Amino acid sequence: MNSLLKKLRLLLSFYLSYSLVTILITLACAFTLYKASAFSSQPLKMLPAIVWIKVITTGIIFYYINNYQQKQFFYFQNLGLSKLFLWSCTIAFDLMLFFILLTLILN
Amino acid sequence: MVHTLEADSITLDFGTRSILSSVYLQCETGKITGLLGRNGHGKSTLMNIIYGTLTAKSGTIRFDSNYTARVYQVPGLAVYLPQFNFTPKALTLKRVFEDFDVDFGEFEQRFPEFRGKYTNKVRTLSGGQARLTETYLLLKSPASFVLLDEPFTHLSPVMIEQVQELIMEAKKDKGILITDHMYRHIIDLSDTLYLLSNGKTHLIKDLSELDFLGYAKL
Repeated sequence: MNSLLKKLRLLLSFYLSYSLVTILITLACAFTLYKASAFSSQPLKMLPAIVWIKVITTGIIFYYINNYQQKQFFYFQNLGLSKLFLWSCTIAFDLMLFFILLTLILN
Repeated sequence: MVHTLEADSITLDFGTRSILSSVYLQCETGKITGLLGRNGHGKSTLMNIIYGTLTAKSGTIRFDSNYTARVYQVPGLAVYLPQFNFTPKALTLKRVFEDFDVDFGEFEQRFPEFRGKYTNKVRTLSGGQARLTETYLLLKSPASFVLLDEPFTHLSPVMIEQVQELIMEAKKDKGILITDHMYRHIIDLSDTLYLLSNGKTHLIKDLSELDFLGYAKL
């Protein structure tokens, strides 16, 4: 398997280790925005609060994994992936999913 | 060609407590370097500093005399077995062996108890089996140096003998830094032996020094 595919697979494994919680939060935020757009004339007023909830919960997940599930990092480090690389790629992907979903709802 | 990995003048404090004080240690490919020390004297801390996952207050890590900031980020340089099992439990053995580019067939042949477990998840293994698997993967990986922190933990006497054989085989083309509380095994395996005591490393030339430095009565 080429190294890029291998890296992507490792990133996916890391993301899956916390994705259940983060995807549920994304869906809850999207559902809140959907309801706001259905019942309110100015759903965009809700947007900053929803984005802050996502950012804060992402921070909590980051703290929890770094402090209570840090053993798994040695697996990825032994395969050449740093914590910084794992976090920056997976958080970027997660936030991208979040914003794509919110954009689809607003449109 | 012989490669060297050195930790030089490593100093680390936790608050007011000095853990490591101007520590020096050298590993070479083709040799096993043993690191002994009592609980809490900084063996794992030193290994983490060498590997690059912990930053020392001062000191340098050098590979072939060149400064290396984070050893684990240099492809093929080193791998590290921490004190605990580190493989994500949701992964299958198939996946883990693929990630490390190690042949499962050879592993299965050597350790028949793993026969039929290729598609099993890591969480189905016992603590000893998981430890053995991780140690095997790291010793068979293409890295030049392997840092082993308590590799004999959770292992039965038979498994310990098998791991010792693996380490001796791996030594042919790797440098190995090993620490464990089963000090007799470490003494038997090591070509070079250091004792970490009171924050400093002592190169052991005669085993009586272990007694003199208060580590063990041999």
